[in-house]
Amino acid sequence: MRQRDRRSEHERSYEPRLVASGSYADVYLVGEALSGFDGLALSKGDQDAMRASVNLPKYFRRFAETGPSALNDKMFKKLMDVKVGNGNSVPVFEFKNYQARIYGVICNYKGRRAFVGTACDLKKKQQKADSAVIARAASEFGKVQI
Amino acid sequence: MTRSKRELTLAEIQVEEDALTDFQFAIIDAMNAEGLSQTDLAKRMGVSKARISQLLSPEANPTLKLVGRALHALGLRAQYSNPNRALENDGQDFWQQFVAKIESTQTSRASFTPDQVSIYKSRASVRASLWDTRPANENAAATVKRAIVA
Repeated sequence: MRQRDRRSEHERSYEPRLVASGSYADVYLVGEALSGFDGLALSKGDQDAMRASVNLPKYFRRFAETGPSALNDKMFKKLMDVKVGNGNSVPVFEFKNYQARIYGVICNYKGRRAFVGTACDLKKKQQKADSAVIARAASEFGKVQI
Repeated sequence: MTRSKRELTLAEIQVEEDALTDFQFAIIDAMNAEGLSQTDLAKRMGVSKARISQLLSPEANPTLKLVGRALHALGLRAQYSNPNRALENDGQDFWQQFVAKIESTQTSRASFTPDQVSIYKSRASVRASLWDTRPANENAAATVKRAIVA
């Protein structure tokens, strides 16, 4: 008999999408990271966004296959540990290419090591990551059903 | 003089970015294999660390000469190939596999499913002239010809 999905519509829409899988880890995107990433490829006329849409999947695949050592810190890096309550903190990482940044957390998801991208900044002007977006990446991660 | 300038297509952006990331990933892999830091590579190449950092950044657009020096410093060499030629070679491989299969089983088209025939046919018949370039397999070639062309 088919089991009823008891999750709310909001919870179902917050299901991370697998975008790369390899021997080292899986890479998932969810929420604004997912919609932002999908939107990059549609950014006709914005060459930086088009370039990011071409390159980020390569970074995801390389991370998934080999891990962070296969990318340099201009492609992927740890930003900071963000406190999320109960005395816990989560380390936030970013994939970046041109002005696009995908922020997320490395965790164990569906039984495997995974990067789960939860926030993004697609028009980043300064070199330094925006602390509000980093905090949002950590708090959005709390919505992901681990 | 009027200069014609147009927006790059996605395909053109793709090949530009592939050229850069293939190079950068090769450099990163070679550095990791040798346990080299960017400072070490900078010393080997006789450039500043900032130049290496820039070389490996997503927005980099290094000169071919600098690319050549970086590859040389790590014992790498760029190779260029024609993707159409690669397809041709692929076709030859498939043709050889098909001939071997025919020879080993002394079979005919009836032994292959339509899908198998279709796959072999599309790959193996990339070059019609291939049929006549394997004198040693003349009989097999004739059999294959009958099997998939008939």
